[in-house]
Amino acid sequence: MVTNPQIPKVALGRDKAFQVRDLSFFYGKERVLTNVTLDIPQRRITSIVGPSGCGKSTFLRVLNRLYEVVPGARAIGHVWFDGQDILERGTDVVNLRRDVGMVFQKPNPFAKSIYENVAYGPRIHGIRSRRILDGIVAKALGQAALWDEVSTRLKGNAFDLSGGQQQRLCIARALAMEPKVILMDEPTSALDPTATAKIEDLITVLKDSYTVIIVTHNMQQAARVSDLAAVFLTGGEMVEYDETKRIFETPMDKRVEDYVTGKFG
Amino acid sequence: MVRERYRQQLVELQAATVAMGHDAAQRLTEAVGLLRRPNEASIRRLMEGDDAIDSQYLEIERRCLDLFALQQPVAGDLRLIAASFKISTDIERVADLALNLAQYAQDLHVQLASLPDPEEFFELGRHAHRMLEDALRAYDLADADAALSVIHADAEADRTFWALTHGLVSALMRTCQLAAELPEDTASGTVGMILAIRDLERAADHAVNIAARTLYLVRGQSDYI
Repeated sequence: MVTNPQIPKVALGRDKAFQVRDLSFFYGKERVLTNVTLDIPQRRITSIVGPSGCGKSTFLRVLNRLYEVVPGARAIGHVWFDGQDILERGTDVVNLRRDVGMVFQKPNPFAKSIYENVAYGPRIHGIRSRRILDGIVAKALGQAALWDEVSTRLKGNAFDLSGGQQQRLCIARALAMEPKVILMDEPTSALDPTATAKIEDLITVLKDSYTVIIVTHNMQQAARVSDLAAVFLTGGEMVEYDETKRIFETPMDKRVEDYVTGKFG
Repeated sequence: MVRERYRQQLVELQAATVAMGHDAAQRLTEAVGLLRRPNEASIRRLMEGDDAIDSQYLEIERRCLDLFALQQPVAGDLRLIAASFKISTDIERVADLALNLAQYAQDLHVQLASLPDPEEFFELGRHAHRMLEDALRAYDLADADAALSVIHADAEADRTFWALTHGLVSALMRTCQLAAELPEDTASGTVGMILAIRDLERAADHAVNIAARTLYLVRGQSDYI
């Protein structure tokens, strides 16, 4: 593939959470990602933007191998995480998914209490002590900026929370596992502006301790919250990747200019 | 092409800014002309016309604010709106300079005789006008090379400014040596003339600003801002 050498595609410097090299992805015969190469830095917020069908959600699902649940899905290339190529056979996906948590588009709490939603992951990883679990639940809900709103009703049903609270509960559930990375797939697309603003504030705070990778259709959201932005275009090609402010002020690739200004998409 | 209405608004913003720029450049040239042949009616007409420039300026500012607030512009669109917002300010200042010159046209007309070569003053006026028109064309056509040429043309304006100022100050010093006491009207006349020369040099500087914003618009380059 011929690329314009002037267009930065790999963020240099800083510690890397992921090093993705020549990643291509197929659903059966259909190619969804084409030779994606980029480094994702630790403890920063990286947004993945692009039109529908550009492979951005698939890309996110490669990072914790969630794609495996889809029959016929196949990734080739290399994705280095913590000194290991996670695409290799023999990768411990349970451990990988503990380190790389995920928050989905629609809040998907379990049909359990608020407490049990957050304690669920630590429990299945063998933590039994009530005292330790209480500590984990309080800390995770605190980090997810939900503690003040639910501390008096931890035994209440998670479905009684508002949509925005449910999404923060899902973030707390991910944080309870003390992951290194949190993947977010359109985390606010089902929320109103106030709930969206709360999640965005939360994402900004989370980057002090976590690497956040967020897929979003909402350009303004990517501009508001992310430090780095990677633009994917149809065909699953990553066309440009750099500091978010440069992507949104002076994109170098004409296709990126056209996409972010809404001339197509 | 999607967002048709928005694209149209961007085109209109640029056209409005260019139109205001032509008007201001034209007024500057008319004001310089009034120094050669001052005429009460023309002076009044030019001074009254400044309100129209101010309205254009406010209109462009409103368009920019609306686009920022409602369209969340990014990339080239963001740079166009930001550049237009700043360029309209420079254009408005050029119109103010024209107003200045017109206001003192009678006095300055008399004072022109104190210049070693009055034609040099008019040449500075023509040079500033050319720079303004070239800068507006560069902005209109998003032509970075043309913008750079305008920036380089400023050296000539600066040279003429210093030559004219130096000539006036030398003449003033000679008068001082000849007369026991410097007549007050000679001193104030010289200061007035220097301010007029300075107005033209400032107009050229505004052309440079327009060109620098154009470079930012086209290349995202902030070097000359």
